[in-house]
Amino acid sequence: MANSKLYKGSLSTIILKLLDEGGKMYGYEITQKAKQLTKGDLKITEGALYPALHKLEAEGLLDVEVAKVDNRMRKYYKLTEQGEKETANRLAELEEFIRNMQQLVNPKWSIS
Amino acid sequence: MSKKLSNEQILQLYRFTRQHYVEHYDLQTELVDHLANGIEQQRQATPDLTFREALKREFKKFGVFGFHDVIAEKQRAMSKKYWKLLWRFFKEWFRWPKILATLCIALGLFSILRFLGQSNHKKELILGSLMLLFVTALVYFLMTKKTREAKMLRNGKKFMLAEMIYNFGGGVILAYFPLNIAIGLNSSSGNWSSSPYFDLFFSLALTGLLLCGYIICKVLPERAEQLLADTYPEYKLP
Repeated sequence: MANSKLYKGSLSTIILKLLDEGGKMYGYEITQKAKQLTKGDLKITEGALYPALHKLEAEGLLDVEVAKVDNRMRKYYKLTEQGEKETANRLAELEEFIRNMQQLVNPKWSIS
Repeated sequence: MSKKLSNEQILQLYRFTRQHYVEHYDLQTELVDHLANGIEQQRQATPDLTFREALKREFKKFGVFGFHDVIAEKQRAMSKKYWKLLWRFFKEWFRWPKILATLCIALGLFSILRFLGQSNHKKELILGSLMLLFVTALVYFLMTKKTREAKMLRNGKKFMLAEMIYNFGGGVILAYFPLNIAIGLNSSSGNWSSSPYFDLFFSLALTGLLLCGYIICKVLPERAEQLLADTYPEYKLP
Protein backbone atom coordinates (compact mmCIF):
# COMPACT_ATOMS: atom_id res chain seq x y z
CA MET A 1 0.00 0.00 0.00
CA ALA A 2 1.67 3.15 -1.12
CA ASN A 3 0.50 6.16 0.77
CA SER A 4 -0.73 5.34 4.21
CA LYS A 5 -0.56 2.69 6.86
CA LEU A 6 -4.17 3.52 7.59
CA TYR A 7 -5.26 1.77 4.43
CA LYS A 8 -3.29 -1.35 5.17
CA GLY A 9 -5.74 -3.01 7.52
CA SER A 10 -8.58 -2.36 5.12
CA LEU A 11 -6.98 -3.73 1.96
CA SER A 12 -8.95 -6.97 1.84
CA THR A 13 -12.20 -5.11 2.55
CA ILE A 14 -11.41 -2.68 -0.27
CA ILE A 15 -10.77 -5.60 -2.65
CA LEU A 16 -13.99 -7.34 -1.61
CA LYS A 17 -15.98 -4.15 -2.07
CA LEU A 18 -14.49 -3.52 -5.53
CA LEU A 19 -15.35 -7.06 -6.60
CA ASP A 20 -18.81 -6.70 -5.13
CA GLU A 21 -19.41 -3.72 -7.39
CA GLY A 22 -17.38 -4.73 -10.41
CA GLY A 23 -18.29 -8.42 -10.67
CA LYS A 24 -15.30 -10.38 -11.91
CA MET A 25 -12.02 -8.49 -12.09
CA TYR A 26 -8.36 -9.26 -12.68
CA GLY A 27 -5.47 -8.05 -10.55
CA TYR A 28 -4.32 -5.17 -12.69
CA GLU A 29 -7.90 -3.98 -13.14
CA ILE A 30 -8.34 -3.83 -9.35
CA THR A 31 -5.30 -1.58 -8.92
CA GLN A 32 -6.54 0.72 -11.69
CA LYS A 33 -10.07 0.84 -10.34
CA ALA A 34 -8.87 1.79 -6.84
CA LYS A 35 -6.69 4.49 -8.32
CA GLN A 36 -9.51 5.82 -10.46
CA LEU A 37 -12.10 5.86 -7.67
CA THR A 38 -9.81 7.74 -5.31
CA LYS A 39 -8.49 10.02 -8.06
CA GLY A 40 -5.03 8.59 -7.68
CA ASP A 41 -4.88 8.80 -3.91
CA LEU A 42 -5.00 5.07 -3.26
CA LYS A 43 -2.31 3.11 -5.02
CA ILE A 44 -2.63 -0.57 -4.18
CA THR A 45 0.87 -1.88 -4.64
CA GLU A 46 1.38 -5.12 -6.51
CA GLY A 47 3.36 -6.57 -3.64
CA ALA A 48 0.32 -6.19 -1.38
CA LEU A 49 -2.49 -6.91 -3.83
CA TYR A 50 -1.63 -10.46 -4.90
CA PRO A 51 -0.89 -11.80 -1.41
CA ALA A 52 -4.26 -10.37 -0.32
CA LEU A 53 -6.07 -11.91 -3.30
CA HIS A 54 -4.49 -15.32 -2.77
CA LYS A 55 -5.35 -15.22 0.91
CA LEU A 56 -8.98 -14.37 0.19
CA GLU A 57 -9.09 -17.16 -2.38
CA ALA A 58 -7.70 -19.66 0.14
CA GLU A 59 -10.32 -18.54 2.65
CA GLY A 60 -12.99 -19.47 0.13
CA LEU A 61 -14.18 -15.88 -0.31
CA LEU A 62 -13.07 -15.64 -3.93
CA ASP A 63 -13.45 -17.91 -6.89
CA VAL A 64 -11.29 -17.80 -10.01
CA GLU A 65 -11.87 -17.98 -13.73
CA VAL A 66 -9.28 -18.01 -16.46
CA ALA A 67 -9.78 -16.68 -19.97
CA LYS A 68 -7.49 -16.23 -22.93
CA VAL A 69 -7.21 -12.52 -23.69
CA ASP A 70 -5.06 -11.47 -26.67
CA ASN A 71 -2.07 -13.78 -26.54
CA ARG A 72 -2.05 -14.50 -22.83
CA MET A 73 -4.07 -16.00 -20.04
CA ARG A 74 -5.95 -13.79 -17.61
CA LYS A 75 -7.08 -14.80 -14.16
CA TYR A 76 -10.32 -13.25 -12.97
CA TYR A 77 -11.52 -13.12 -9.38
CA LYS A 78 -15.13 -13.00 -8.28
CA LEU A 79 -16.91 -13.26 -4.97
CA THR A 80 -18.24 -16.60 -3.81
CA GLU A 81 -21.51 -16.77 -1.92
CA GLN A 82 -19.51 -16.81 1.30
CA GLY A 83 -17.51 -13.88 -0.04
CA GLU A 84 -20.66 -11.83 -0.55
CA LYS A 85 -21.73 -12.38 3.04
CA GLU A 86 -18.25 -11.60 4.31
CA THR A 87 -18.16 -8.38 2.28
CA ALA A 88 -21.36 -7.20 3.95
CA ASN A 89 -19.93 -8.06 7.39
CA ARG A 90 -16.62 -6.35 6.78
CA LEU A 91 -18.25 -3.24 5.37
CA ALA A 92 -20.48 -3.00 8.42
CA GLU A 93 -17.39 -3.35 10.63
CA LEU A 94 -15.56 -0.71 8.64
CA GLU A 95 -18.49 1.65 8.88
CA GLU A 96 -18.59 1.24 12.63
CA PHE A 97 -14.85 1.83 12.77
CA ILE A 98 -15.17 5.05 10.80
CA ARG A 99 -18.04 6.20 13.03
CA ASN A 100 -16.00 5.52 16.17
CA MET A 101 -12.96 7.25 14.76
CA GLN A 102 -15.12 10.22 13.96
CA GLN A 103 -16.29 10.33 17.57
CA LEU A 104 -12.75 9.96 18.86
CA VAL A 105 -10.96 12.50 16.77
CA ASN A 106 -13.97 14.76 16.40
CA PRO A 107 -12.91 16.35 13.17
CA LYS A 108 -14.66 19.08 11.30
CA TRP A 109 -15.38 16.83 8.31
CA SER A 110 -18.11 14.26 8.06
CA ILE A 111 -18.67 11.14 6.02
CA SER A 112 -21.95 11.09 4.17
CA MET B 1 1.41 1.30 -34.02
CA SER B 2 -0.14 -1.34 -31.80
CA LYS B 3 1.23 -1.39 -28.31
CA LYS B 4 0.02 -4.93 -27.64
CA LEU B 5 2.79 -7.27 -26.64
CA SER B 6 3.92 -9.92 -29.09
CA ASN B 7 3.98 -13.66 -28.34
CA GLU B 8 7.74 -13.50 -28.03
CA GLN B 9 7.49 -10.69 -25.46
CA ILE B 10 4.97 -12.72 -23.46
CA LEU B 11 7.45 -15.60 -23.46
CA GLN B 12 10.13 -13.18 -22.33
CA LEU B 13 7.90 -12.22 -19.41
CA TYR B 14 7.51 -15.89 -18.45
CA ARG B 15 11.28 -16.21 -18.51
CA PHE B 16 11.58 -13.02 -16.47
CA THR B 17 9.29 -14.35 -13.71
CA ARG B 18 11.23 -17.65 -13.71
CA GLN B 19 14.50 -15.74 -13.34
CA HIS B 20 12.95 -13.94 -10.39
CA TYR B 21 12.25 -17.19 -8.56
CA VAL B 22 8.64 -17.70 -9.58
CA GLU B 23 8.80 -21.41 -10.26
CA HIS B 24 5.14 -22.30 -10.69
CA TYR B 25 3.20 -21.83 -13.88
CA ASP B 26 -0.02 -20.76 -12.14
CA LEU B 27 1.64 -17.84 -10.44
CA GLN B 28 3.82 -17.02 -13.45
CA THR B 29 0.71 -16.72 -15.61
CA GLU B 30 -0.94 -14.25 -13.29
CA LEU B 31 2.19 -12.13 -12.96
CA VAL B 32 2.87 -12.20 -16.70
CA ASP B 33 -0.61 -10.81 -17.40
CA HIS B 34 -0.11 -8.14 -14.76
CA LEU B 35 3.28 -7.07 -16.10
CA ALA B 36 1.97 -7.16 -19.66
CA ASN B 37 -0.98 -4.89 -18.77
CA GLY B 38 1.32 -2.45 -17.04
CA ILE B 39 3.83 -2.42 -19.88
CA GLU B 40 1.13 -1.93 -22.51
CA GLN B 41 -0.34 0.96 -20.59
CA GLN B 42 3.04 2.62 -20.12
CA ARG B 43 3.89 2.30 -23.79
CA GLN B 44 0.53 3.69 -24.72
CA ALA B 45 1.30 6.78 -22.68
CA THR B 46 4.97 7.00 -23.68
CA PRO B 47 5.34 5.47 -27.14
CA ASP B 48 9.13 5.79 -27.17
CA LEU B 49 9.55 3.62 -24.12
CA THR B 50 11.25 0.31 -24.87
CA PHE B 51 9.82 -3.01 -23.70
CA ARG B 52 12.78 -3.56 -21.38
CA GLU B 53 12.54 -0.16 -19.77
CA ALA B 54 8.79 -0.52 -19.26
CA LEU B 55 9.29 -3.97 -17.72
CA LYS B 56 11.91 -2.58 -15.36
CA ARG B 57 9.53 0.14 -14.20
CA GLU B 58 6.66 -2.30 -13.79
CA PHE B 59 8.77 -4.73 -11.76
CA LYS B 60 9.91 -1.91 -9.52
CA LYS B 61 6.32 -1.49 -8.38
CA PHE B 62 6.54 -4.85 -6.61
CA GLY B 63 8.97 -3.29 -4.17
CA VAL B 64 12.50 -4.09 -3.10
CA PHE B 65 11.77 -7.75 -2.47
CA GLY B 66 10.36 -8.26 -5.98
CA PHE B 67 8.02 -11.22 -6.18
CA HIS B 68 9.11 -12.61 -2.80
CA ASP B 69 5.99 -11.64 -0.83
CA VAL B 70 3.69 -12.77 -3.59
CA ILE B 71 5.38 -16.18 -3.76
CA ALA B 72 5.40 -16.59 0.02
CA GLU B 73 1.71 -15.78 0.42
CA LYS B 74 0.77 -18.01 -2.49
CA GLN B 75 2.67 -20.89 -0.85
CA ARG B 76 0.85 -20.26 2.41
CA ALA B 77 -2.53 -20.08 0.70
CA MET B 78 -1.90 -23.23 -1.31
CA SER B 79 -0.65 -25.06 1.73
CA LYS B 80 -3.89 -24.19 3.46
CA LYS B 81 -5.77 -25.56 0.48
CA TYR B 82 -3.76 -28.79 0.63
CA TRP B 83 -4.49 -29.38 4.31
CA LYS B 84 -8.16 -28.64 3.70
CA LEU B 85 -8.17 -31.35 1.02
CA LEU B 86 -6.45 -33.76 3.36
CA TRP B 87 -9.04 -33.01 6.05
CA ARG B 88 -11.88 -33.48 3.55
CA PHE B 89 -10.71 -36.97 2.64
CA PHE B 90 -9.80 -37.79 6.24
CA LYS B 91 -13.36 -37.06 7.39
CA GLU B 92 -14.67 -39.57 4.86
CA TRP B 93 -13.11 -42.34 6.92
CA PHE B 94 -15.42 -41.46 9.77
CA ARG B 95 -18.58 -41.78 7.70
CA TRP B 96 -20.45 -44.86 6.68
CA PRO B 97 -19.26 -47.23 5.21
CA LYS B 98 -15.57 -46.35 5.58
CA ILE B 99 -15.94 -45.93 9.31
CA LEU B 100 -16.18 -49.72 9.52
CA ALA B 101 -12.67 -50.04 8.09
CA THR B 102 -11.40 -47.32 10.46
CA LEU B 103 -12.91 -49.09 13.45
CA CYS B 104 -11.49 -52.43 12.31
CA ILE B 105 -7.97 -50.97 12.09
CA ALA B 106 -8.26 -49.29 15.50
CA LEU B 107 -9.79 -52.38 17.11
CA GLY B 108 -7.24 -54.64 15.47
CA LEU B 109 -4.36 -52.56 16.79
CA PHE B 110 -5.97 -52.33 20.21
CA SER B 111 -6.49 -56.11 20.35
CA ILE B 112 -2.88 -56.78 19.40
CA LEU B 113 -1.71 -54.39 22.12
CA ARG B 114 -4.01 -55.99 24.70
CA PHE B 115 -2.88 -59.42 23.59
CA LEU B 116 0.71 -58.40 24.17
CA GLY B 117 -0.35 -56.98 27.53
CA GLN B 118 1.50 -59.53 29.57
CA SER B 119 4.45 -59.93 27.26
CA ASN B 120 7.83 -58.70 28.42
CA HIS B 121 8.66 -57.72 24.88
CA LYS B 122 5.69 -55.44 24.34
CA LYS B 123 7.72 -52.28 24.68
CA GLU B 124 10.38 -53.51 22.26
CA LEU B 125 7.73 -54.60 19.80
CA ILE B 126 6.01 -51.22 19.84
CA LEU B 127 9.25 -49.30 19.43
CA GLY B 128 10.43 -51.72 16.74
CA SER B 129 7.17 -51.39 14.78
CA LEU B 130 7.38 -47.61 14.90
CA MET B 131 10.94 -47.70 13.63
CA LEU B 132 9.91 -50.08 10.87
CA LEU B 133 7.09 -47.75 9.88
CA PHE B 134 9.51 -44.83 9.75
CA VAL B 135 12.02 -46.71 7.60
CA THR B 136 9.29 -48.05 5.26
CA ALA B 137 7.91 -44.54 4.74
CA LEU B 138 11.36 -43.10 4.02
CA VAL B 139 12.23 -45.88 1.58
CA TYR B 140 8.85 -45.40 -0.15
CA PHE B 141 9.45 -41.66 -0.46
CA LEU B 142 12.91 -42.20 -1.93
CA MET B 143 11.86 -44.98 -4.29
CA THR B 144 8.96 -43.01 -5.75
CA LYS B 145 10.83 -39.70 -5.97
CA LYS B 146 11.57 -39.81 -9.70
CA THR B 147 8.06 -40.88 -10.73
CA ARG B 148 6.52 -38.24 -8.51
CA GLU B 149 8.73 -35.51 -9.89
CA ALA B 150 7.72 -36.48 -13.42
CA LYS B 151 4.03 -36.40 -12.51
CA MET B 152 4.38 -32.90 -11.08
CA LEU B 153 4.83 -31.55 -14.58
CA ARG B 154 2.07 -31.13 -17.12
CA ASN B 155 3.40 -30.25 -20.57
CA GLY B 156 6.56 -29.07 -18.85
CA LYS B 157 4.61 -26.75 -16.53
CA LYS B 158 4.62 -27.10 -12.79
CA PHE B 159 1.53 -26.09 -10.84
CA MET B 160 1.96 -25.33 -7.18
CA LEU B 161 -0.75 -27.67 -5.94
CA ALA B 162 0.58 -30.48 -8.16
CA GLU B 163 3.97 -30.08 -6.53
CA MET B 164 2.39 -30.27 -3.07
CA ILE B 165 0.33 -33.36 -3.90
CA TYR B 166 3.25 -35.28 -5.43
CA ASN B 167 5.62 -34.09 -2.74
CA PHE B 168 3.15 -35.56 -0.27
CA GLY B 169 2.61 -32.06 1.13
CA GLY B 170 6.09 -32.15 2.58
CA GLY B 171 4.93 -35.50 3.98
CA VAL B 172 8.46 -36.53 4.90
CA ILE B 173 7.67 -34.76 8.14
CA LEU B 174 4.86 -37.27 8.61
CA ALA B 175 7.34 -40.10 8.14
CA TYR B 176 9.30 -38.77 11.10
CA PHE B 177 6.23 -38.96 13.31
CA PRO B 178 6.63 -42.65 14.20
CA LEU B 179 10.30 -42.01 14.93
CA ASN B 180 9.48 -39.11 17.23
CA ILE B 181 6.81 -41.12 19.02
CA ALA B 182 9.30 -43.99 19.45
CA ILE B 183 11.94 -41.63 20.87
CA GLY B 184 9.36 -40.05 23.18
CA LEU B 185 8.14 -43.40 24.44
CA ASN B 186 11.62 -44.75 24.87
CA SER B 187 12.66 -41.86 27.06
CA SER B 188 9.49 -41.74 29.13
CA SER B 189 9.63 -43.40 32.50
CA GLY B 190 6.86 -45.46 34.05
CA ASN B 191 5.28 -48.65 32.97
CA TRP B 192 3.20 -47.16 30.16
CA SER B 193 3.17 -50.31 28.10
CA SER B 194 0.92 -52.15 30.52
CA SER B 195 -1.75 -49.45 30.76
CA PRO B 196 -5.02 -50.09 28.86
CA TYR B 197 -5.35 -46.32 28.39
CA PHE B 198 -2.05 -46.29 26.58
CA ASP B 199 -3.25 -49.15 24.36
CA LEU B 200 -6.41 -47.25 23.54
CA PHE B 201 -4.70 -43.94 22.88
CA PHE B 202 -1.89 -45.52 20.92
CA SER B 203 -4.18 -47.57 18.68
CA LEU B 204 -6.32 -44.49 17.92
CA ALA B 205 -3.30 -42.27 17.23
CA LEU B 206 -1.68 -44.87 15.01
CA THR B 207 -4.93 -45.39 13.09
CA GLY B 208 -5.13 -41.64 12.47
CA LEU B 209 -1.52 -41.56 11.34
CA LEU B 210 -1.96 -44.52 9.00
CA LEU B 211 -5.07 -42.97 7.48
CA CYS B 212 -3.26 -39.66 6.93
CA GLY B 213 -0.38 -41.51 5.31
CA TYR B 214 -2.77 -43.41 3.05
CA ILE B 215 -4.58 -40.25 1.96
CA ILE B 216 -1.33 -38.32 1.37
CA CYS B 217 0.45 -41.09 -0.53
CA LYS B 218 -2.43 -42.75 -2.32
CA VAL B 219 -5.77 -40.91 -2.37
CA LEU B 220 -4.58 -37.39 -3.19
CA PRO B 221 -2.12 -38.42 -5.96
CA GLU B 222 -4.77 -40.68 -7.49
CA ARG B 223 -7.28 -37.86 -7.61
CA ALA B 224 -4.73 -35.22 -8.52
CA GLU B 225 -5.99 -34.65 -12.06
CA GLN B 226 -9.50 -33.81 -10.89
CA LEU B 227 -8.33 -31.76 -7.91
CA LEU B 228 -5.98 -29.74 -10.12
CA ALA B 229 -8.63 -29.16 -12.76
CA ASP B 230 -10.99 -27.93 -10.02
CA THR B 231 -8.36 -25.59 -8.61
CA TYR B 232 -6.92 -24.27 -11.85
CA PRO B 233 -9.34 -23.38 -14.62
CA GLU B 234 -6.30 -23.16 -16.91
CA TYR B 235 -5.11 -26.70 -16.09
CA LYS B 236 -7.02 -28.35 -18.92
CA LEU B 237 -6.37 -25.56 -21.40
CA PRO B 238 -3.88 -26.44 -24.15
